[in-house]
Amino acid sequence: MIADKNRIYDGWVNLEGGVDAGRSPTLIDPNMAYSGENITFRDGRPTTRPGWRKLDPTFQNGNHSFYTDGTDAGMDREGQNYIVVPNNRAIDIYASGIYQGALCYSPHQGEDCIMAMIGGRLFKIIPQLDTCMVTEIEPINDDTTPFTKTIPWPKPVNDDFQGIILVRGASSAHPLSGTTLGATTEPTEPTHPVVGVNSVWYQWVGVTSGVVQNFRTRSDHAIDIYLNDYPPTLVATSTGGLVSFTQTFNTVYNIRVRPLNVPAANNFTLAWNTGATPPPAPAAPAPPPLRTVPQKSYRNNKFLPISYFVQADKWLVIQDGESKPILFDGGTARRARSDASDPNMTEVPVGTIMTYGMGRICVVVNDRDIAFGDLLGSHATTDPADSLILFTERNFLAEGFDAAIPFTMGVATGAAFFPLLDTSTGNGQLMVFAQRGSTGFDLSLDRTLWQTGQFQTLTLLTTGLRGHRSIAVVNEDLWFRADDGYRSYRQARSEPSGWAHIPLSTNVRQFLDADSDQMLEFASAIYFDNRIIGTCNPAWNGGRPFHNGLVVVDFDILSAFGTKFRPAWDGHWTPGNAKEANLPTLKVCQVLTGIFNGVTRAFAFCMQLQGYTSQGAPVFENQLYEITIDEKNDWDDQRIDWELVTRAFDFKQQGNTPFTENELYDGDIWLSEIEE
Amino acid sequence: MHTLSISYRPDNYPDWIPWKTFSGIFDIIGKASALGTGGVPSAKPGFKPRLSFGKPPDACDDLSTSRRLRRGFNFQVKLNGSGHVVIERFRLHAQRLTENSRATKL
Repeated sequence: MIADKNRIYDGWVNLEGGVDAGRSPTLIDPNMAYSGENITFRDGRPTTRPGWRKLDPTFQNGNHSFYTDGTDAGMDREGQNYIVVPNNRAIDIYASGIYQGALCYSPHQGEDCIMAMIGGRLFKIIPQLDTCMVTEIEPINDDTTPFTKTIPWPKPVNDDFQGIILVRGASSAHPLSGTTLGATTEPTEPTHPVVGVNSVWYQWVGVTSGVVQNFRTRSDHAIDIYLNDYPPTLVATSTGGLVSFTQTFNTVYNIRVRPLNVPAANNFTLAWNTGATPPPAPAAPAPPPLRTVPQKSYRNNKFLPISYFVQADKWLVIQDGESKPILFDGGTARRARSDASDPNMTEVPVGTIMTYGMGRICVVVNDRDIAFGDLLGSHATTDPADSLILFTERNFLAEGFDAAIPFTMGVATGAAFFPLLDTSTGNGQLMVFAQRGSTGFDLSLDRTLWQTGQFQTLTLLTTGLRGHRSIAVVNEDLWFRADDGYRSYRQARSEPSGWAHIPLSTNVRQFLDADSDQMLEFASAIYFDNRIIGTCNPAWNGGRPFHNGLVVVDFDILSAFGTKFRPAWDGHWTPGNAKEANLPTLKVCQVLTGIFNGVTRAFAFCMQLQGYTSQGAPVFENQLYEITIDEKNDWDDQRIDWELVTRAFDFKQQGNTPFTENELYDGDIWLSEIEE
Repeated sequence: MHTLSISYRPDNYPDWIPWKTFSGIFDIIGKASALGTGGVPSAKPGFKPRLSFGKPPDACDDLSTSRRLRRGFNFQVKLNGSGHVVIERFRLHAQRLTENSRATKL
């Protein structure tokens, strides 16, 4: 009993219910908090979240490097010269390359590891306690014809009006060289006589009055002459490469050179003179060759921000949507074969999202189609798993085409086999999610029935998935990131009363609502330590997507006999104490989990802010961290900063007493388990 | 060093009003590096029962209503801390006021 009879206090004593910012802070349950940062509500008590451990890399072939044309120049190859290309060593790429993706991989032989694509190169990472052993996987052999890649032409400097090139004089001493290759159409491009495609700009000033001025270029290009006003006044035009007009002294003329159509874009010369005889027609130069470069055998495109992984039996398959898939069996890596002359040797096609189940690899190709691989053990190979990477059965559906998701659903955004407990396999349908819905494929059907049976069904309408790495399977449930927060597929099917298909993350909407839809592609989530940990607050820096935080929901509160509580949202977690403008300087690229020597561990690939360039651009370095279960502090004994916002107390007494005006008097808190 | 800062806001006030900051007054029990019998660390996790915030300062709402910010119909509290702790219990005290029968006319 409190001695001061004028004091009143709320009966609220704990905060076991987690975070709920989905309703008014005066109306949420007394045992819920309004917001939490770096807090967990496990055991019914708000506690600082588990600490993170930093895993500094120890390289096995860190000085390994390559010539820029892909030739190996590393120290790991015997009999070759040792040449290290600056900024091209494995150690450099691991630290500063664009992080593209990772997966925990359990090979048939060898240690469980993390396989990561960074800067287009493949790294094998064996996590230990405070370090990790990193090896770049090389070479990645390609025993069929290597790809060539077409390089787009650079934009000419005078592509936009802002970069206009000034030409002077009554006539050109020598024809001026220019190009419309790589040129574009500006939003403010004049629309008369036509909208120019691939146009470039010159400016010329009249040298006298009343005299004819000629401009000439190649005959498959047009020249438009405008006055220097806005909207531009057309003075003259010609589609045959020659234009003549009567000039006025000291008048500024803007000259647009454009090809008659897009394929006609080419190098050209521009000549001009005064008088009745125009300059001679220039010789038509030969069409320029396409600019192509061979696909590097050791790496994929280093500028792509995302790559795709799947483990199928012993095989790890890695894609980026452009390069030939990389097949890694735990020992060596090679490109998938695509020999058109031998269909029986056709392996995993180039695609994006992949999954493995019911003995087949499934690959999303061309954004909307799903290619199904050959069945495990279906070919006479030494290892039954060697059949998995073959794709010779793509003609069993739709008269030789791959399966397709309905066009109205948008492009494919994720794929996973849904757990189904009442089957002998435990595997349910293959769920292929799209931007607006999902499609199920019953791969337990014999392939001969795919055309005639109920092979494909629509499983979700209107609500789709964002970020193929955001799928987290929780027992027989499946959580994923949608454009309005985190949702659950199981919830949609098994909720018999009330609203069924609802976002489950409204409690933490203040951390999710502002997420950019365009960035959700890079979301990831894991189920670890009976929590779902998902990324949020995505941002973009120099071609590198990252996340400024995580949202966490804890299922542990469900684990009690005789009671049935709902999961509790732990709120928002931001790793590390160093912050800048209230944002963490440690940025999460992806969270992932796996079993290593029998122990389930969770990791986060992050970008750590290292400093700034002289131009003020931030410099990040990739770094692997482990999300622990019970560490009290973050790495290097950093204390964890936390924040807890309570509900709004109205000091309402028991019963139906209405709230009244109060004067805040005091507050008491009880703390325990204070650690160093 | 462990820190704990408390701030509050009445009703729908947009800003947080600093209330109390504790710094370095709670820690583990014993020395972190001290070893006991058998080389087992002898330090124990600390605890702090009923840590009182005291009366909030008499801040005034200069933004809008010109009222004393300690007065309100409901209060929200924000706790900011550094270092691992468990919040076992928490309660907030107030003194009931006699309201005017009608709100102030604007």
